[in-house]
Amino acid sequence: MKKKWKWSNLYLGFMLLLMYLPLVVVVVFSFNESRLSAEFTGFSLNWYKVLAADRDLKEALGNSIVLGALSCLSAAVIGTLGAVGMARVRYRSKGMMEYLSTVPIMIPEIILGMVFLVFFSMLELPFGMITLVIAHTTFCIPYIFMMVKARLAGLDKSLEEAARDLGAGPVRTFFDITVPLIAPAVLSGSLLAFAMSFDDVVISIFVNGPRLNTLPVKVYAQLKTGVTPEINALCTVILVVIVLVLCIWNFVGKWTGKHRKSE
Amino acid sequence: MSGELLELKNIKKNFGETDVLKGITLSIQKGEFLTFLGASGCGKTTTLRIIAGLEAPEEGQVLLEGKDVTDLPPNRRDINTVFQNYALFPHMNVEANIGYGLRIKKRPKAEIRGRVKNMLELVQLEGYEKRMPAELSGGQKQRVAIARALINSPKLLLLDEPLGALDLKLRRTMQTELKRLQKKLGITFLYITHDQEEAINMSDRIVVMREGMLEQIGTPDEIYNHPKTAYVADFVGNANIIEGVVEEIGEEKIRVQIQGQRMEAEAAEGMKAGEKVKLAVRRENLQVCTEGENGLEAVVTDKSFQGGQLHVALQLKTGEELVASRYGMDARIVPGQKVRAVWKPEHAVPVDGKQEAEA
Repeated sequence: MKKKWKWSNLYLGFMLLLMYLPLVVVVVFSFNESRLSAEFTGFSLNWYKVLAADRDLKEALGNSIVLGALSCLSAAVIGTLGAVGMARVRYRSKGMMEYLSTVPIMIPEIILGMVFLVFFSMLELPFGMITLVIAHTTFCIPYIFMMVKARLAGLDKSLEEAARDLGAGPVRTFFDITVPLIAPAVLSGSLLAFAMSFDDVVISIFVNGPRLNTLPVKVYAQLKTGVTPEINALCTVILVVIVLVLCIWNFVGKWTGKHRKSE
Repeated sequence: MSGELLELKNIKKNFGETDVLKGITLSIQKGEFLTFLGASGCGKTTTLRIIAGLEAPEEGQVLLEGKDVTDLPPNRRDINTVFQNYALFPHMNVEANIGYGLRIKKRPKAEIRGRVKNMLELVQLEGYEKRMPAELSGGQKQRVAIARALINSPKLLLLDEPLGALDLKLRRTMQTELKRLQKKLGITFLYITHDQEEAINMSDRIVVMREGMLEQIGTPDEIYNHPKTAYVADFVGNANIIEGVVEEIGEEKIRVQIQGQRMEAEAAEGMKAGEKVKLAVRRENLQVCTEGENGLEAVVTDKSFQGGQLHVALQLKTGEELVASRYGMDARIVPGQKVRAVWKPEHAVPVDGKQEAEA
């Protein structure tokens, strides 16, 4: 069949261009020789060398990774247990409780940041990694909670019953049946949560304390002194990592999709 | 059959406002194939779930070999279930699915592998160990589900409409096979179905359920040929229910007055002359005569051919509708024609005994 020209194709192309052109520009200019990001004067890996030598930035990157990992791990445990527990109980205010568990996503970050600042000061907690992890865990929980809840809703209840029927106690059933079946949801929720934690500026600025910087906070601070192509190089590296993770995720998704057919 | 295996004592269950079970009392013998037959919503699945321990009754007791197991969780009862949708664990292969019960009992790996192999032979799925459930057809999933339950050598196997999702041909094959398995292993089967044909083909005894109550318990022959209530006659045998008044009672036969005609029927206990009676006449036993003076006057209203059978719809003078069916085409009868409906005395069974007589 001959392909027909369609206006929708033009629209699609335009939108994709609009979304990805800035990214392409950043990647291209990360290889720019010049310090100015106005014109491309020649290919160079110089900014990657500068990036590799920048201790502050690397430290901030390390902080962000640790923070993301810790908060998405604790959020994964809390969110998963919450969703599993909620799926089993039945009481009148359940809908309200579930709603309350997802509200942090809807509260503006600036308010959440303020609230955490005031709250942690009241508790006299030292600002640093601990306060960051607590704050980030709080807004990470809803992502995992919602993902797992949706997965549980689509899960056949008789699978757990079958395990009980075959002699497994409640705990054994949870680890043999429930956990493997909701694992994809926990994983995708955690990835989302990690991404949210990794790029958070607003809440982090309120609770990070004077000495500790996360990567986004550091980048944001550099804006004041002017952006160098070093930041472009950093963005490119992060983009590459994200593309890699997405590829792996896609692969994992296909693999777990094989099971889902049977449900 | 040697002795009682399971006893239900006055089991009651409600979901919110609705009473699902209104006092079920029943005993199941060792080694028998018992079927719960009923329309959807009659409470048969709930009864089965209570026996399995997946649901707790509000009232009553479940006794397994004389011991009260009402409050025991499902994992501590020697009862296994084949679920309606198979409920195979999607993340485990066939071998892991079937061996799950033995793994929980911490049997040695070599023993588990051997017994899984035996089970696969028994359900004729040799060599399927490494397949995932998603790669199996409906019938194969069914066999795996049965193997997974049977490997634990339960005292009682519960089957909740296990053939419901299969096509007709495969269903017939599986019926024979289930019956073969049950005879071979000697395990007591409690089978649930809404398909009367399936129940009659497979069971030693049938329990007909209706709205949370037991309507009739008996052998397939008793249920089919001697239904006690109009409901059973209609549900199991697609029978016509015809009302009349008892005129004369004999040893084996009674005479019944229906629409000014004298018809004969089987005798039943506790019957008195002058009382109202309901007769159940199965469709295939209702004959349509185009000549003669005997039988009920009727008009043919419709004729249709369904599943190899000719269905003739009749309307009596009182407006009651009857259906007669027989195999093969019969071109002589046309809608609008006046005919007479006749039956042999042994084919008309009085139903709804006492309760209707009082009315």
